[in-house]
Amino acid sequence: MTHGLFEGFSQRKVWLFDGGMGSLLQKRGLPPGGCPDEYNLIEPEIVRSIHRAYVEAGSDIIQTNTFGANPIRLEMYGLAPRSKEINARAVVLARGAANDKAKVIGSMGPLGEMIEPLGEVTRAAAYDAFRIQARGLVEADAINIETAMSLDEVAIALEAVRSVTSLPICVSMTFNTTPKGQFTMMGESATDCVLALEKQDVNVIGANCGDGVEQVIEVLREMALSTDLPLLAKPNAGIPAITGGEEVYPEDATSFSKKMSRVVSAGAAIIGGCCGTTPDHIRNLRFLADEINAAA
Amino acid sequence: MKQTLDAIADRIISGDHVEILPLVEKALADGASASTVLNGGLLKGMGVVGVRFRDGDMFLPEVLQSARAMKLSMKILESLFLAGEHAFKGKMLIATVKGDIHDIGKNLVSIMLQGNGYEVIDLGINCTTDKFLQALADEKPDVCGLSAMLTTTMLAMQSTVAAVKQVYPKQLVIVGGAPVNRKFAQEIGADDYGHDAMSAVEILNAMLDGG
Repeated sequence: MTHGLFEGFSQRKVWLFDGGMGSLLQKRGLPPGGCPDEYNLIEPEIVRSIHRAYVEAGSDIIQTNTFGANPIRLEMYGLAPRSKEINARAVVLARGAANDKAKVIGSMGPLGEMIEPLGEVTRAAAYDAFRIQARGLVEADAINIETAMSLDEVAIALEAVRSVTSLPICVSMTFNTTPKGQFTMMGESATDCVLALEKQDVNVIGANCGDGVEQVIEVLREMALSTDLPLLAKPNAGIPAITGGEEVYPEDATSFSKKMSRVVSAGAAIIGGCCGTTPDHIRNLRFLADEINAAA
Repeated sequence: MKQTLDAIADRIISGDHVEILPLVEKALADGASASTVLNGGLLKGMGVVGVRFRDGDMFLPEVLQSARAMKLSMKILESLFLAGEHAFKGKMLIATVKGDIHDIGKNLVSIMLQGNGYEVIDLGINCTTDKFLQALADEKPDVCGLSAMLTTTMLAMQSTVAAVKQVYPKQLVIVGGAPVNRKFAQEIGADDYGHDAMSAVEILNAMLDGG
């Protein structure tokens, strides 16, 4: 099995991922409640320019704009039949912007609805949805099943992805801070996640989104105790506040990268940002990654 | 009787929707009123579930099992409440604001409120201010709640709350959702902010207590 997400992965200590996509699309005109994934079709230049901004900021890896591009989520916009097309188009856009300077990872977010027996979505429908999305992503360099909140859903997604491609897979979970520590929505600890995902032979395990950098540090420390797999960390720039009608994330590029150095100490091999992070955040992380890689 | 009611509460806590039903029937056959079964058994159990959920000792899958046991038990009780007796502690109107299609959080609030004895009218996702105002006029809920998952739709939350307060100044409004916090809730004129599904239950209990 490939170590990490691509050939030569182990040659560097830290790889730099990209930052937020949705929050930047909104700044570029995506209306509230609009479908970010549809922008791959209707506003490709905007998507491409955001990818390009991340590559120019120094990202080694960029991620397709396909977080919600599975048929179940797209159905809310009447776009379910275009799932495969949206995903395939997204890979082309990212690949073009990467221009051989960055690897392209296909993003697969959760279905957004609960799977039986807890919810209404049947296991077969969940499998089909992930499978259709994965079919559109086969030209990427790897797959990132991200912002996952349920190991059960991840298991279905993994099976679906593997039915169409042998690309390396990262699984990145999202945790909630509870009085008893960090757990997924379904009550799974970081250790539970690592043990389950190792058994399923994923290439990289990680944590993204959530309520900020400190939380991801806590999660990664716990993960590092029970696995030797490379770890990914893509936290939010904190929880935003609305000030004067505009959303403001608490971590600016400087404070974010300062904190992210502790994420690397906690064991992260891939670092980046989720909601509220921008090319500025990534530019600062580039310095951090270069420093660490030079010292390694 | 107390033994049966305790057993009902236990089945709620363990989320056993099969074993609980004959126990509810037995309590009724032994002479308990519908409201005794509700308050002394079902709600007692859901109270424990709520505290455990809040404290991180129970998680969503278990809570959903408890809610299912509660819902099926309520089906048996529903027709048995006497005139003047209330099957519900109060009525809540709930929706995810316009532009936002996230419903897991809102649904969880809905489930926890129903599980704790409230009637919930759920308007679903992407709810316009007009639709919300119409439902307020039709349903006359004790409390209404709005959810937003996206930072961008917090602004829709703001305008819907403002519209509600303009038309019905005394209408109790609570808000919640990942990007929402207490400060924002105060800024937009909501009456309270619920951090999670259990705090929504606690807020309604406090708002409607003796009201």
